[in-house]
Amino acid sequence: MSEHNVAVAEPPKATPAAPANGHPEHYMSPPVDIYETADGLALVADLPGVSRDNLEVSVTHNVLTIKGHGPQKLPGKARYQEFQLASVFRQFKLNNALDTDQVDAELKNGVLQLRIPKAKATVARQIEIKVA
Amino acid sequence: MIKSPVWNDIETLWHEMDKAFTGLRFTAPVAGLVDHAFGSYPSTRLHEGPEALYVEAMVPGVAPETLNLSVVRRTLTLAGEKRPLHADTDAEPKVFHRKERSEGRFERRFTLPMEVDTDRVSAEYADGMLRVTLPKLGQDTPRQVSIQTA
Repeated sequence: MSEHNVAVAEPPKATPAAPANGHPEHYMSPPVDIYETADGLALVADLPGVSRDNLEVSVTHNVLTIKGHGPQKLPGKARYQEFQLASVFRQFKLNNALDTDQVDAELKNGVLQLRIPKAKATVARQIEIKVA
Repeated sequence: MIKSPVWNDIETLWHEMDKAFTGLRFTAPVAGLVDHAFGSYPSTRLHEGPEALYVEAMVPGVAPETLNLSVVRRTLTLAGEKRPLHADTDAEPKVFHRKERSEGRFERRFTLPMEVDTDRVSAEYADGMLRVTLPKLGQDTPRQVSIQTA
């Protein structure tokens, strides 16, 4: 599987529609690592403050979507802030060499880890040679 | 009382170290400060309630047991290490397509805007966020001193 073969494009820049409460919602792009392993592709995303209940991962028409709601409110008044209370949203286009039906997802310590195995058709199959 | 020159030197050194560590002073004027202005890890926010200060830091992927948090007077120190995820699994990366996440050791120091009750500082970790609660010392409330008459 070459690098071009599993090119991961990010076409949609459009952010999702504003939520029902009418307030414009900020979205940010979470940093990700994407790498190939022996079995397929691994995607790791930093999603601090996003709990399991606030995270949505889906694959539709080979487009992987990660959407989540970020950190919760902190008591008291804000005195200093280095990060925005933003939701996270990011999409990747997966190619056909991956089996998107078998995606394995794990969320631990604010890090999402996805494992997407190679499609069966692309895995080299050893053919046994019979001796007559 | 006059400070000895030695003490001045120590104070100067202390300030130099403060600068060297690029610690963040919560007491500095922060109006209009944009995200990541200090370029320091981890990103943090400070809230103030009537009885306590709340500090929250984004530390995704940092195992809570490797975090080291300490408070000495008004200085809060947070240190730890963000290890690459694949270091703990068998999925050895062959080719990287994207590498945007940071990793490595970090240490950051903050100067709190006021004295806190260091004995009652508590911290909790959830979903890659560290939340520290620092109860204020009730030193600003004037204490009535009774005057004894002879």
